[in-house]
Amino acid sequence: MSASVAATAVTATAQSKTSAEGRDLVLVREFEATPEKVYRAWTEPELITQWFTLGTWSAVKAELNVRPGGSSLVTMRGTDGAEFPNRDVYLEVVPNKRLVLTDAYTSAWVPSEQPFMTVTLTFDDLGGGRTRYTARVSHWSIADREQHEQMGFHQNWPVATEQLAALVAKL
Amino acid sequence: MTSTVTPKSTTSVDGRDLILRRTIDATPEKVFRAWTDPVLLKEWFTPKPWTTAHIETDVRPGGSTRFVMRSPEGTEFPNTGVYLEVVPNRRLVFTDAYSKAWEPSEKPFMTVIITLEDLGDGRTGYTALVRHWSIADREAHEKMGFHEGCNLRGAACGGGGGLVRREFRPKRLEPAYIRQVRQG
Repeated sequence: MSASVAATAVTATAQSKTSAEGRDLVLVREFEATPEKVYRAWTEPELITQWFTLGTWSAVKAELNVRPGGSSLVTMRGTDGAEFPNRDVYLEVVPNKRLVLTDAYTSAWVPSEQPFMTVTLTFDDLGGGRTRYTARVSHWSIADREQHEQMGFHQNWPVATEQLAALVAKL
Repeated sequence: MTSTVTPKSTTSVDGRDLILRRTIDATPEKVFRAWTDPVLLKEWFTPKPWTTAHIETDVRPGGSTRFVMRSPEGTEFPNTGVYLEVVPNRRLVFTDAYSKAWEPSEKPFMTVIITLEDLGDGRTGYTALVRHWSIADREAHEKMGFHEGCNLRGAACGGGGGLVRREFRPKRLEPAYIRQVRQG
């Protein structure tokens, strides 16, 4: 495991770039949309259900209490119709700039079964209606980061991010 | 749920949680200060013969707390955490799951929820709810002496004094004890 600690794999899809940095996985992409629109796509239930997917699972319902300590409940549905609830708590909310959420809690402040990751989203205003979007996914261990990669992070997150790009272009 | 009563504190177990309750003869403002002012924390937080080598608190959501304890042998044990929620004089929530906002720590062990209820007449209903991510961690915390902390380590449990009583002290000892438990 130690040999992989320093390894930095860089995978590029159409327009997203993903990389592994220690315990973190990072996705960067630029959008032809303002930070406000990208932020809305993450925080409005009727928008997040239009683009958020995890592999074959798609968000079909969302209850988002977007404030520090607020809960995020996103119901994911698989191709076979099975559903699972994806529960997170927002740790930090800076409208149109920054959003931090974790699955370490199911609500403020009830520990989840297994703390796996913390997602820090940064929306940098590039001017001219463009945004540099960074999703930093931090794990508590290298093993968890590796597991996340094996679960398809480098494929699944860019796919979802392209869907996000398509949505914000229309807003 | 089992309960253990020390002179003035009651501790209990509820699933993954450990709970300590006590009535303190001081206003919520004073208890809150004792929990957040580094100068005051240094006075009561570390059980003798251990000492506090360094302490800093950035009391705001996302702010860090860093606390270095020194053993009698001179070994230093740094503890870090992040405040999740701060309601002055009423509520304080922090966790060791992050070493700073929002960098995961080595191991998420507990989340501490301090609640201060104003009982009037300069008295405070004090509750420390200590939540863990697993039953095993809650049990490890008990083995470290959560229930007996005050009797084992506190020199002035339930005694007078203007500051918060010493039965809360063991909580920040964990990282050191965890290492000891792990290393056998």
